[in-house]
Amino acid sequence: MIKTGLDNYEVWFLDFLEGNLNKSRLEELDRFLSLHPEMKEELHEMELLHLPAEKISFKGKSGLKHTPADYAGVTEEDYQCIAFMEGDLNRSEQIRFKDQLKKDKNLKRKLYLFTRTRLVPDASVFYPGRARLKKKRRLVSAWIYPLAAAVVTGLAFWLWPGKTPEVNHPHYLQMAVKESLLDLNKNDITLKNSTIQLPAAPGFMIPGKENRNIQPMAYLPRKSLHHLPVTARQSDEPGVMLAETRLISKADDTYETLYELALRLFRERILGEPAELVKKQQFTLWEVADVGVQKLNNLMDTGIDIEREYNSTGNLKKVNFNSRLLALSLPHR
Amino acid sequence: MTVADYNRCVDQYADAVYRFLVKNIRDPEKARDLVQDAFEKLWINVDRVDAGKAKSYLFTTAYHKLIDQIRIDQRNRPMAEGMLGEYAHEQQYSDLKEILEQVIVQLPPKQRSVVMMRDYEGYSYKEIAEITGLTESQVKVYIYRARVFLKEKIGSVTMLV
Repeated sequence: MIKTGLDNYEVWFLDFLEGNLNKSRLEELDRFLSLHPEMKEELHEMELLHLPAEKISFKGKSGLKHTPADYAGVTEEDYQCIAFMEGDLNRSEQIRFKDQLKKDKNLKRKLYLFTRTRLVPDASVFYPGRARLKKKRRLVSAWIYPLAAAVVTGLAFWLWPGKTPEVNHPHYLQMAVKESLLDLNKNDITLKNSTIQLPAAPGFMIPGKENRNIQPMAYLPRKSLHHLPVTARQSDEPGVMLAETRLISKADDTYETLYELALRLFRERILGEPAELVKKQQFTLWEVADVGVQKLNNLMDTGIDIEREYNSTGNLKKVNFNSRLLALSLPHR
Repeated sequence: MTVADYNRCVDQYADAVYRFLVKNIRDPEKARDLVQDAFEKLWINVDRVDAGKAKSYLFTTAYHKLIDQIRIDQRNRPMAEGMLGEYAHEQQYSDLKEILEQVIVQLPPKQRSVVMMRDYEGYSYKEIAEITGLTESQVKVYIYRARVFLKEKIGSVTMLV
């Protein structure tokens, strides 16, 4: 413990005056004062330095306050009258206001005038064209019906068990490939490597990669691979992209299936796409349905959504259909 | 909301919306167009709007279209409001309703609209705030100020009558 001395006694005195000294320190202070009795007077003088708190209050407090009437920019009397009329007063305020009304004739007159400001709906005014506003049914453009029919037909074809055109069509291939095999830098995504081995059996391996048996949805002549435009999207499985490939040319193919005919007509006549595009690219029925649904959504704001769901090996698992009224999921066979 | 609900709305609210608009802008033709616009918007969104909220939806649309229309009119005829005020004072009033009809147009558009919604439709401050996009406090202030203005006007005029 630091001893009290002539060089630090002020600190001890202050602590003493503020009651911060414990028993042993008080004894130490006594010891110091008995050694230096002249310091007792100084301690007494320090005690006199205490300033008592004065009771000073700000008199203009009420002038700083604001009432709801000030906020509304009206006088207090007006405010009370309107608040009474509008039902904004609580029970006790209402009673107080009614008491005031009994005493004050001017206030009564004021309230009367305020009650006269209430507007009354003019029953003689009516909307003259009401019948024209009414609707019999949703307005649908005439061409929406064939479009809707195409969508339904497309879905029906696509979902029909064992009739999935993508699987059986010789010019369509959907497969899972490693992302590194796709050249994603170009606008038209192409396969970097055209040497992918297509197996004879359903299922093939990606050469040099992990032994993942990937089921293609259909097969394609190997020589055609490098001509294919490829669209790619991320699979559920990390590092695997789903590549959907379609033939550009039908040079080695002269026939046209019923659904191809339907699609061509659909593109030409309903979507109104240029003839060269119609010839060069084939649509899958899925795309027809997808385009149709989009058009329906745009035109009628129906909020219908169809989507395909794949498993980790890139095979189609199910088709989901969502609308405001109906949501269903159809497993793919 | 079904087509039947929509048509019920036409029956129930077309007059109220029209009344609100025509008393505000004093032009039956423009009011008719605005009513039609409001119902057209409701029809376009008929699937999204809940039948229980259709009235509020209609008034919200009508209010915003009304404010737009007033802005356009004010741009085209900047003196119209002031002239109308002077003109109103020169009228010979036969009853209080007529006086109110004349002085209500002298209110600023927003004050006029909120008072009309309050008195014609009995909307609460909260409902009016939702329709107009104002805060409840603003709505209350507008109504109070409008009442004082109307009271002073009818007070001075009824003294003369």
